[in-house]
Amino acid sequence: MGKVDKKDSKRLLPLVNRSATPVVDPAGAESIADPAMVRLAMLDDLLNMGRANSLWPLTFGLACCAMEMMAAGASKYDLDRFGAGVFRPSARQADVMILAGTISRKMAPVIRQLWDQMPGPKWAIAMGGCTIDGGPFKYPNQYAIVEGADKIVPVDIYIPGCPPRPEALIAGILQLKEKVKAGRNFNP
Amino acid sequence: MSESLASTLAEYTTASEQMDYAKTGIHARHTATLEHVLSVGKTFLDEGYIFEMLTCQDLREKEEVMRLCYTFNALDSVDRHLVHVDIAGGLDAETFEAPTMSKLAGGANWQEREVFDMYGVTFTDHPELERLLLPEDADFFPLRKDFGRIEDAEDADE
Repeated sequence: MGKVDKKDSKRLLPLVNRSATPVVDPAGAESIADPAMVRLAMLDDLLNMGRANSLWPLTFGLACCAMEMMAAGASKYDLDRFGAGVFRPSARQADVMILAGTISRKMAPVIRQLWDQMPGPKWAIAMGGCTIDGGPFKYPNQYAIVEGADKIVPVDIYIPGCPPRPEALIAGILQLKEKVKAGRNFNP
Repeated sequence: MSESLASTLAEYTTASEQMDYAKTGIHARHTATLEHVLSVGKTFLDEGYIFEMLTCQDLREKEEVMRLCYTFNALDSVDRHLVHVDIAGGLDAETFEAPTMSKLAGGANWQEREVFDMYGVTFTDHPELERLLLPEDADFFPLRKDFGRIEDAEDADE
């Protein structure tokens, strides 16, 4: 990364100014960037808004998809922009499980235990082909993998790809955010 | 290979042949019987060789044997020896047994567990002969040739 020269700082200026104006997202909900935002709603809605903007994922990866998950968390894609970059080392502190990679049969009970250790409300994201239905490892009489994360935990969001790019994971997390805001939850 | 090693090996092996290292990656191949496998291992280890690898071949259909393949190597001057040990038994054989080498070479412990895991060869007196890579409750041996075969399957389009 080079130094920020004068030309760059000029280019950044409109962006800074724009943040003061109301931003409306495609779903129609007002963003928290709106300074004049007033919410008159039930307490649940307020709590859901807080949950949606601070999704804390559990730190664990299962296979190659985890590389893309790490890339999404690192500076270039920066999951912190969406409040979802605080990967927790303990299941007790996490509220979203990103299943990133192939689930072997030997690993399945461990994942289930981690899921049971997470306090509700909690959500699960199935990232990549393996966690959707077994992906490239699915064939008749295979003995090594679990064909789909939804055989172990209830999955909220499926992200296709092998592996999905970090943008796809971010899109999935934004989708999950909408789901949380709407108050839809399998595991209260 | 030193002369003392060659003469001791000749006592315990039924056949030995020199191999082309550039083509095969091994210097010599020996065949031994089950009762002499520990003596062969001890001979190599006493000469300063290391226990490098153990794997298995399922030859039950063609030759009615399960073949253990031990590899020994010298670290100071690369000298790799392959030892074939056949366990008799056809497709209908229930068990395959071999003596454990883990008492001589600690590295054999997990290698033997893996062979047990994948081929179902039981090693007598092994300290902990349990599933290594597969789940503890698995009741199959996936690298046996008859595992998972689909009888009326068609080949993929070429």
